Amino acid sequence: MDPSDDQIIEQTLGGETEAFNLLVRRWERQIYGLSLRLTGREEEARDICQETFIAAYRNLGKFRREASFSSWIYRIAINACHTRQRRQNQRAEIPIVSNEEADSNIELASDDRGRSVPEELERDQRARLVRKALQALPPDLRQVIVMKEYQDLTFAEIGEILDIPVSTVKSRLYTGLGQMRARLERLRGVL
Amino acid sequence: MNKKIERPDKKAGEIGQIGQIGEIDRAGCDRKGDLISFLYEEMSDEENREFSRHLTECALCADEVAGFRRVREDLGAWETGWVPRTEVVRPAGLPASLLDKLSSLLLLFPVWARGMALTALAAGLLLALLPMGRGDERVSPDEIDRLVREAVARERQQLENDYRARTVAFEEQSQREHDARIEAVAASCKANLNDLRRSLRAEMRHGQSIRSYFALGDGYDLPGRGAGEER
Ligand SMILES: [Zn+2]
Repeated sequence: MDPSDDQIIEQTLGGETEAFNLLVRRWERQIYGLSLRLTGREEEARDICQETFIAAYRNLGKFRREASFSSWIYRIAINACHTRQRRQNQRAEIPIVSNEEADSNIELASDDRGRSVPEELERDQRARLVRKALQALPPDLRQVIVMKEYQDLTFAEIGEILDIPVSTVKSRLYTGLGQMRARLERLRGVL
Repeated sequence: MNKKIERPDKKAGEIGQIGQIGEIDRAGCDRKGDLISFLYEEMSDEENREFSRHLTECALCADEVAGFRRVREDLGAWETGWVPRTEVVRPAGLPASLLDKLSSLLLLFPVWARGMALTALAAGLLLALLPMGRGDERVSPDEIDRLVREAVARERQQLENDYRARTVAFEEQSQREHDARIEAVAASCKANLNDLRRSLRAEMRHGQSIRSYFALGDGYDLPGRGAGEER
């Protein structure tokens, strides 16, 4: 049976440094996915992902068991995203995702899912729109949508990670989805 | 019924003030919290049945559920492709200081990659180099960034120095070879010159004797001819 996150943490703190790799393997896809959807940039997401695990590794001794490891590491990643975007906004008022960048950054999803080419193109187009619409949302709305849609977390889990009540999670989701809907409709209208 | 519903963005357009607009829009039905729970299926069966009934009566909620479902479908189209690999490694026999560690790590990369090595490639490896975090001294990502930059700059400086040193060494070497060749040529010239001088001297001695032989003719007695007689 696979060891629990807590067991791995114990092993790592006990000196089995490599045990931490298990935690990385277990969570990196989630953390990368979260960072990618929050920042809209692959490169940035990669950096944040690594930063997050470095920070977690370095602070493992301070990890409190009241929270789950996943909440804790999500929180680290979200903070890392914040810090980066703040730094970026200070540097220059550039749009988070320019058209060209958004276009070039969308990878053509591999067709190992048995989709036809028109289906792929249609999906690509939609992904591009979604990316644009998401990046245009205020960060607090984007966060809850990303966490709910892509990380598949419950309202309560999102509340714990962001340290906000469940009612706030829901109202942010509501407002965020409303804005997404409007933007997507508008973007579609332009095309 | 779509007409009645004003989408938040049509009015506010900009980020920041939209929080309350959702509420203004929903005058007449204030069940947005339930709507969200229903949408994400975080409801008991009983609540679910009840809200489904509500949807048959409330056009506002029904429209919104349909609209949000389309948004969710669109969101599903954005898949992550490549996922990074972060690895904890424990390289054997590393030197003590973090900077030394970074430098020795850099040596593992080919020259062309060193400039960018740690930013992406080796950041994962860095995990191993950082001491464990039971309240000991901390290294922030910024610090790591700085350390990496310094290490890279040092590495570049080192390469430049090496290059310069090699250039200087080459120049010195070729200067030495040049000097040696000139010396050799000079030596052979000198040798030739000496030979020439020697033979010239020999010839001159001979010529001298000839010259003196003849020259002495003008006013001097040629040896062996009448000198003795005259003396
Ligand atoms: Zn309603």
